[in-house]
Amino acid sequence: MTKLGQVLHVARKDLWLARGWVLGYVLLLLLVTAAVVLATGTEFRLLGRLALLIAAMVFTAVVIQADSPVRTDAFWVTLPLDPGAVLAAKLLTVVAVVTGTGLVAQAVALADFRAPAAAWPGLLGSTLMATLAILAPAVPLAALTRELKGFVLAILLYFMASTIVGTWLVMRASTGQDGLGSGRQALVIALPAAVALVGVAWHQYRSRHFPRIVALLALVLAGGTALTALTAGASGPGERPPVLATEDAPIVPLEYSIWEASGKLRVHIGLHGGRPGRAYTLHIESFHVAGPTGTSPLPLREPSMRLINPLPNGVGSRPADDGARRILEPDFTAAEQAALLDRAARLVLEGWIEAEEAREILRMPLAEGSVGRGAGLKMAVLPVAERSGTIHIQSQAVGRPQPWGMRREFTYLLQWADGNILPLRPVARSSTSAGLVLPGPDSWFQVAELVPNEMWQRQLAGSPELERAPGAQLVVYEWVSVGSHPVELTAVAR
Amino acid sequence: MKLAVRTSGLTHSYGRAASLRGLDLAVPEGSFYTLLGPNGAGKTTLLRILTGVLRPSGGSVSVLGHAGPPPGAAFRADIGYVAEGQRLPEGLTLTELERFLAPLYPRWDAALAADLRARFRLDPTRRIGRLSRGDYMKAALLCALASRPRLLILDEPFTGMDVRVRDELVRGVLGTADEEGWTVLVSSHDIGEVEMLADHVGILDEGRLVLEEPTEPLIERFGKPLRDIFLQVTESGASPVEVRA
Repeated sequence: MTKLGQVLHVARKDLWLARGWVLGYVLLLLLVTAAVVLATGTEFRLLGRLALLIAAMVFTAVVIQADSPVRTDAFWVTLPLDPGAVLAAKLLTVVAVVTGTGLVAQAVALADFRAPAAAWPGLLGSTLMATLAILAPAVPLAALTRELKGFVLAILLYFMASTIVGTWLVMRASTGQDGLGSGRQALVIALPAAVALVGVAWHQYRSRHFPRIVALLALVLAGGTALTALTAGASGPGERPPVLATEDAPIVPLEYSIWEASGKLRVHIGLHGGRPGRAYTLHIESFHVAGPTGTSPLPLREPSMRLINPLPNGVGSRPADDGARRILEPDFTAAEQAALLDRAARLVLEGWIEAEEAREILRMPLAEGSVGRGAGLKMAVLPVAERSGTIHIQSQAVGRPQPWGMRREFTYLLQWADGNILPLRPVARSSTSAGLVLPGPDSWFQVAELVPNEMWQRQLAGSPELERAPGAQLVVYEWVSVGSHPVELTAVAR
Repeated sequence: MKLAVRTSGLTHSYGRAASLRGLDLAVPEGSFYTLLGPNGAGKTTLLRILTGVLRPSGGSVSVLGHAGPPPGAAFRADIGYVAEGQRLPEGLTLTELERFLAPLYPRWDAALAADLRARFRLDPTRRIGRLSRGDYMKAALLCALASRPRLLILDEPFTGMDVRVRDELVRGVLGTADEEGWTVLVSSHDIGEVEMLADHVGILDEGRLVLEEPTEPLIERFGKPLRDIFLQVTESGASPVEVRA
């Protein structure tokens, strides 16, 4: 029998042997998926996901220990089987059952959330990575322990140890020492760590004489690094979105000048040429004074600043501000101030400007209990009994508008039957990270109170707003990054 | 004489404790070789080295003509191994286990498996984990025999079994091995069960082979039953050279 044949043959046997576990895992997966799709039982979903993770790890141990590499009384060691093929069969079985079925369930949930097609690869990819990150330590630990009891103890110790290692690495990174920075750096560390983890298991199968203490130490170090790296994720600082062709090219360059006011130099940054439906954020990578004696970097408290945030046309918003301006107050030294005012020094800014576009992602009747879905967002209007004169919504959103973005932010509007539109502001928000069926996609669960502006509040005083708004609709917009432009400006004092 | 197994100066240790001390063993092809020895003599270690489960610390091993480091997977198709305490896949029924093993062994004999199943009165639909101890060992033996091995290694296969089951197993092994001309290497610390089977005997004590001879000449030379020879040899603490003399 060829090695590939052995892999499939052993995998088939393992699947059949562990069919009870597989059935239990799939059943649990179905229950959690149903809870996500039906938007019920938040507590169950949280507990269900935890149970899924535990079940996945126990299933891994059951499959690996069915043909243990550390037991000399194991049956497989006397059979004409290649050790590498046995390990490959184990990996195939575990990945197929845990990750394969998990991805299907996750895809069902994403479809229910109407996640945008373009976001699917990223969302499923992060699920895949998160699931593999969980399985990566479980495989070698199951291979290093003889029985399920030993595995449970080992995995608990592993998570404790890797939490310590991970915290230490994150602390080093945050204090500017060697550590984990951007997502790319994290990946460079995570990949060899994952390979090392599987390598430990492979060595165990091949030799069956590996000093366990060495293996465990290697495992903790590699696992801690991998977990931390994966946790660091793709949210590294200073990552610039790719430059895309937008229709906003005329906005560059920005207006940029410095003024003296009350004896302190202020920097004014203005944007011209913006258009409705677009928001513009300036990211400053380098900000320094260039004088005859050299350059001096200026630390900024706010290196990213939103310049203008107009709502789209046609929804009653104000037009784009043609003179948006933000003011910075860097800590100039007296010498720098003097040099700038004397025009002996210049101020140099390097960075990029990012354009976002408001997109309507959900429109639903503003009636209690109504549920709306759109672009990775599921939202429900809570029953009147749970409200106190304002609109309470419960929502769960998945994914990020762009991989480099932060948590998704929405803009809420109330559209009356006669076409009038009122902006709503979310307040008193409580949110928890919720995930979907499996961990991975950045997903959170939120309960928010939407309040209108003060004038509208006065109009509705004393009455439930729904009675005053028959046929009204809740419209949700989201800002989605559409491109960026490099910015390099040099200014002198006016 | 062609040898199925040959070891020379074989050593093995678990940490600092030596389990085999320069062992020289020669098992003729086609023989029924019984390895006797008290508990802790090194029998199981020796057999595990021969099957490639353990690696020796020193010396050389040659099994079915393969010398050097533990041979690969294909080689194991020529060896049948049954040991006391061996863990079969307990979630499978015997039929499922046979179905799993058959493609792995080029000479797997389904007819022989069916014959042995009938002779051992094994229920093929019952899960291995739910078999009695005797039936569990019968199932292990069935799997080893149906693979038609050139070398059958049995490590304390009859320990703790009642006489009837032991007899069934012995007859199963004897009958099949005799018919096929296989080499059988059995380890035991119970002389009675193997006395009638063995045509060669080796006595292992404290990691050394203190005696190795064909059974009949050995009994003739000492003029007493194998049990008494075993006691005399292992209690005297004699060296291999002294025993042979």
